[in-house]
Amino acid sequence: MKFLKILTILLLIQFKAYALIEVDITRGNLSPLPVAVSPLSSDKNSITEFEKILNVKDLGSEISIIVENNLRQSGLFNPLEKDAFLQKPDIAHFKPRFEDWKLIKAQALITGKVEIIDEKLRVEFRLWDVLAAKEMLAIAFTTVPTNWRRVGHIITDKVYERLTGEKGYFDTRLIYVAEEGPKTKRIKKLAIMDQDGFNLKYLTLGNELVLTPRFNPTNQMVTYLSYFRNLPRVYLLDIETGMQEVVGDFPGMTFAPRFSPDGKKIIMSFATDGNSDIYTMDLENRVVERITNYPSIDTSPSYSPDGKYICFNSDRSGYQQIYVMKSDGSSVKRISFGNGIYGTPVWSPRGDLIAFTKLHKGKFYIGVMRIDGKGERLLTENFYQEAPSWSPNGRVLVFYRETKTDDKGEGFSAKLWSIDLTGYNERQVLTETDASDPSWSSLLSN
Amino acid sequence: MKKKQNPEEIKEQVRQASEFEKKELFDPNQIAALIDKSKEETAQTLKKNEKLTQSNVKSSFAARLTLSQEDALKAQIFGCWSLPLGLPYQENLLVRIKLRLKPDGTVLKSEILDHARMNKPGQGFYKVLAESALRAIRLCQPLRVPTTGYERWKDLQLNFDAREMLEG
Repeated sequence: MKFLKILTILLLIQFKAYALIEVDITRGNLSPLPVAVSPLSSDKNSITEFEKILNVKDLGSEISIIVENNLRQSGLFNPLEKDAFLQKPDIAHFKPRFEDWKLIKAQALITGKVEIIDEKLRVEFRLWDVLAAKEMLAIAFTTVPTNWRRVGHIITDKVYERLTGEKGYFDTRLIYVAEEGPKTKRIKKLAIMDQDGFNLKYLTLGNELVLTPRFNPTNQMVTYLSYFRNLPRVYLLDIETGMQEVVGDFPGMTFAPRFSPDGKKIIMSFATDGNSDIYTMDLENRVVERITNYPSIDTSPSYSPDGKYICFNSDRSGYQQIYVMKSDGSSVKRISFGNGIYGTPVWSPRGDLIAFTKLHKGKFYIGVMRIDGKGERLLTENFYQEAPSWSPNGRVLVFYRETKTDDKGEGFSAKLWSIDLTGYNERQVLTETDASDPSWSSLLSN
Repeated sequence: MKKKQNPEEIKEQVRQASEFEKKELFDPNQIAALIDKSKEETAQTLKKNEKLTQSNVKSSFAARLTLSQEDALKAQIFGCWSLPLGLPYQENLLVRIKLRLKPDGTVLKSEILDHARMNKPGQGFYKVLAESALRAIRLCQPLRVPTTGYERWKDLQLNFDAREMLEG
């Protein structure tokens, strides 16, 4: 009986205990995450070797600067000034004094070591959560010394992925059309560079006009248009070997070639007698298949990442709009219904969005919409801009923007720009010459 | 172009409504009773004696802080939470963290309630979000908690919900 009484009292206390208070946190800080990128440390012998082989004095610092710049450009991170660092790089790499890093407001810390072993570059780096005082990531790899800039990009990709949950886009390249000379007499060459503007190479001499280079998403092949006897032809170019071939001679004009997600087909449009339709070509057997057959201008096709759908633009409704269809050409559906004219649709590698160029009331916009056409967001507005191309993680778009020519016919320029999906982080991509028609490669380290 | 949000600004606005900023001028017990009718249950817990007795348990099982108390805590954490902006929007962007606090707001223990999701394949975003929430708590502590009623709020659950911010 006594036991029952005690049990009842205990139960009463149990039931009358305080309920857990819940507080909903629905807003956060939009400022970039403060991160400290400590220079990678090296032993004396390696430092001498770096200078001898690469003509770089302090490779560890140079690599950390690449990482810093990448993180800053992403708009998501705020690399802290190195002058404020209190701990030496070699000690920080093995045992960071988190209190010191906390003091300078770092929330994440990147440390590392780079050395020469058997003529190879051996790199190890760690990512630390300063507030939790724990290691988040530790990776080591070797590569040839000439790849040292890529080391910085690979470190950034891994750090970015660990801190954001999505793959990075730093160990990538941009191909574009380099332009020189007056507007009426432009010399256009194919150019390729790392996404941060380094390692620029010209792939064509500028004898022929080149247009719309596009990367194969699975390797380092490129397809582009070049004029031959006043007719554009589709070319394939292997960037590694420099080998180039004509994909085929097609009747009429050929436009907007682009690879399928598996890299095995090219999708493009052919124009004859004022009508333009979409075709694919199997690169293995060179069989051409007609996808659309409509008395209108159907062009700019782009596959969904799973290869099941194609978005394209067409003026079949009277104005140029964006349409989606199955990859066999069936179930065509218009998805853009806003004011203005839509063009250059490109399916995101993530699969969730379609980027486009829009012309409305004399202004050009780069925007995105969901694949059903809903949720249109215009990210940037300008006098003239077009041709968005996605970063491989589907978070950033690169495009080109032209400036107006003044009354004297001067002042014209074409430059590459990038913008992320928030619409806030807009930056010019620096190029040696004027530039247009950019295309972003997939990750090189995949 | 949309104007970028300024969390600091928001923080200040919310702060103005916070009782914690006014405690030097006013008796917080009186203010709480005046501005928040729903918080009558706090009368017992606001007594100096914070020892949990059966009598005060009976009349105070509130599962909420007063609005002003909640606002103060939210405003503090808003400023500390660096949202991982790279996360793709999806419905499942909620991380629940249970805290055991010291009377001064320092965190004694934190527990992610859906911890199993942290290492599930395809849930990388959840881990990133949970870590960002934990960083916010660590950065913010001691948390801006009420000066009284410790027994009521010593266990506290924070629900970090990124959906609104990442919807775009």
